[in-house]
Amino acid sequence: MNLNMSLKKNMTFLRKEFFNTPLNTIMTLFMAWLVVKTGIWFINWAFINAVWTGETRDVAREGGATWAFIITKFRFFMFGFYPKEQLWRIPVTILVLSLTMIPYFMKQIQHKILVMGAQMILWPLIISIFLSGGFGLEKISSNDWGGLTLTFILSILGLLYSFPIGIIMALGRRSELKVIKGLSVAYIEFFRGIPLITILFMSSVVVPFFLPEGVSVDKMVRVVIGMTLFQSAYLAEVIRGGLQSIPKGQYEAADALGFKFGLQSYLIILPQVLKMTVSNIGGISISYIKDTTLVLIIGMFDLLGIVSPLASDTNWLGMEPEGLIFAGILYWIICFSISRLTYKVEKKVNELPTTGAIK
Amino acid sequence: MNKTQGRNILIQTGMILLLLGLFTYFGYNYLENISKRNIGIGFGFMDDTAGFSISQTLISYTEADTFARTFVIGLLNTLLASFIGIILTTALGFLVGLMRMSKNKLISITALVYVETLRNIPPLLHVLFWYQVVFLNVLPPFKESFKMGEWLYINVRGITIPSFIPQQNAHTYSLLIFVSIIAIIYLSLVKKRMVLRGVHKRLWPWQLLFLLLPVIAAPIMNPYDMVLPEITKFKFSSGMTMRPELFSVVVALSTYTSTYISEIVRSSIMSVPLGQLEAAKSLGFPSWKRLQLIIIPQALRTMIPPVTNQYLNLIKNTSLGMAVAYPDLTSVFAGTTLNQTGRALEVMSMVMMTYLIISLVTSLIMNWYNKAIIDKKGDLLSKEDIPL
Repeated sequence: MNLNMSLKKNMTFLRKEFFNTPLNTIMTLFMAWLVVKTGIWFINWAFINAVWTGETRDVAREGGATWAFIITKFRFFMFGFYPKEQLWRIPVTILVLSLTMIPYFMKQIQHKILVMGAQMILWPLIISIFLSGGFGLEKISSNDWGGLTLTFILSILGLLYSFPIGIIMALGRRSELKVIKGLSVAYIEFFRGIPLITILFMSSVVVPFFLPEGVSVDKMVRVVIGMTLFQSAYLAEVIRGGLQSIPKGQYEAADALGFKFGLQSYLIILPQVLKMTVSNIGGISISYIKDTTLVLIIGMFDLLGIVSPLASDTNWLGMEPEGLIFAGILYWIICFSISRLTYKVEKKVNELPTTGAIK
Repeated sequence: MNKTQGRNILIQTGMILLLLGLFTYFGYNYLENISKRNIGIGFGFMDDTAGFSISQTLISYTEADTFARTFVIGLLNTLLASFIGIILTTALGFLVGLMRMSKNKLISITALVYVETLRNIPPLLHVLFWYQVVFLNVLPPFKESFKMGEWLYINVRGITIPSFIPQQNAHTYSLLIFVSIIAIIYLSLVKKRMVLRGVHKRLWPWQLLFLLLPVIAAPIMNPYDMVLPEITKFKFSSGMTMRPELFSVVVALSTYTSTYISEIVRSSIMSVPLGQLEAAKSLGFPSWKRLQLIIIPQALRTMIPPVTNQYLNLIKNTSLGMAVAYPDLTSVFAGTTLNQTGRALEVMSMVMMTYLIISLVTSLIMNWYNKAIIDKKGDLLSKEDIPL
């Protein structure tokens, strides 16, 4: 009796939700067919017919993925062409970089902005000392950096440096000084109006011409600078949006308290702006990480760029699909976690008081 | 002049001097470097013979043409991919956005999975995926093309459909189409003015007539001759082929951008106050009229600025076509032409300026459309209207 009733209830629910009109019925059936069909195909391809072990492409099976390729080449996907004996340096670098994050979580430190300033000097030093070597460590050219490591380095450096520049440009765009305002607008509109590829080209092809003879800057450094300039223009627009939504009263109150521009921005305006723009900042950070893939066009082997050289290995010819899908899954995990993280931070930040130094 | 003013002038002059200094320094270095490496300066190279071939051209091009022509070819290819991409992404974005709002859980969840999967993957990976996986690995080789009658062939080299060759009266026919479009637009404007004056007269039968006119005229006038694709041993001797590069770029960018458009569509529709829907209901509007007259016009207004940004992103992203050798502006001009001439600065500034101009024009058009839409709504309440 009870079972019968719940069955009946379920039937009415189904009818109401999925089959209430002819159109809805057709859509439901079509969607169900599509989902089941792709689902079955995918499970067959990724699991049932898949091959997990093997040393060459000969193990590949019709209609199934050859994950053996990913497994044998895993090191290259993670660390690029970094020499095998020196691989320990990469986890060490990442560990040291993470250690510099600790002060952010210490309540005693009042002005977190100083921590960020310190990171701006420390991070490139740490990365170049540990990864490039030279100080007693074997020297390794930045051309050998690659895979997820390169994506990671490009992402963290670009995101770190774009912050101060973005904030300065956003404030500059609202400045009453005509020249400052004009320059900021020109900067932002220029970098937002052109594709990132052209900036990367510029930094790899044109910039060397602007340097005095005998001076050469590592390609890696030029690329990071180019990408930072690009990202900071987008960040500036996000922060400008935040600045615009600050009520005039906040500025007036700060003026009435006798705060000069610097203190006013630091203590009153920017904390509110950052709070308001957390989700947008998360969003453009995700786009930025996705954009780091473009370095493959100027011949750098980041996580995406390394797929093609790995699949040109004579043992593994034609393994691009598996490589691309693996890279895609990693990118998906990274981007999706950042979007979830942003969501959490946004919730947490909203519980903080609106003013005061960024603590 | 008080203290602040003096300080302001000082800051700004300092800024200008600093920039001038930097420019002079870099300019000096540049001149030194190019004179040492014997690279010329200026845009004279544009008249030289290009001497390389381009796989896809919208207008005639041979290796004997100039570098200036390669610029035009690249630009046209960029515009072509952008144009098709924008149309596809808009259609797809609206569809997925509406699906996301469906009461049917199966449909809305499928749409959610589509959005969340595609937009967390880099666009360049999308492009490479469509090219290397779908085209090079899934589609059959040339000799075993997938066929649909004599009309459609799909293989590794692209999608081939019949081509249309203009006949003698093709010009007359184009004129007819042009006149019909103008007439339809004119009638819409007349209708709008009538509604404003409170006159309600049916004009749509006339519009329909003008719409049908070219359709009816087509079989009578026979302005274009359809040529079916014909296979010789190694290639198609006739028909129109959409190359895999173009296809990959367009499909990859439209599906990727559509995830953003769908979110914009969804949030704009949801931002229309519920009261509007209730008011429309109580006035007795049937459900599709409610959507057409009350909800969509209001949603469009919030939709246009973010959608414009997405269009601009799509246009800039066509430069990713370079990874699959789609001959767009970046690939042809900033790639091959730059390599051939060595004029890095000239070439790169031309490419950057072109993208800037495209962005600017797109923004202008969308802003103009945005204004046209907002005007329809009539005036907003201004502060003076509020009796306080």
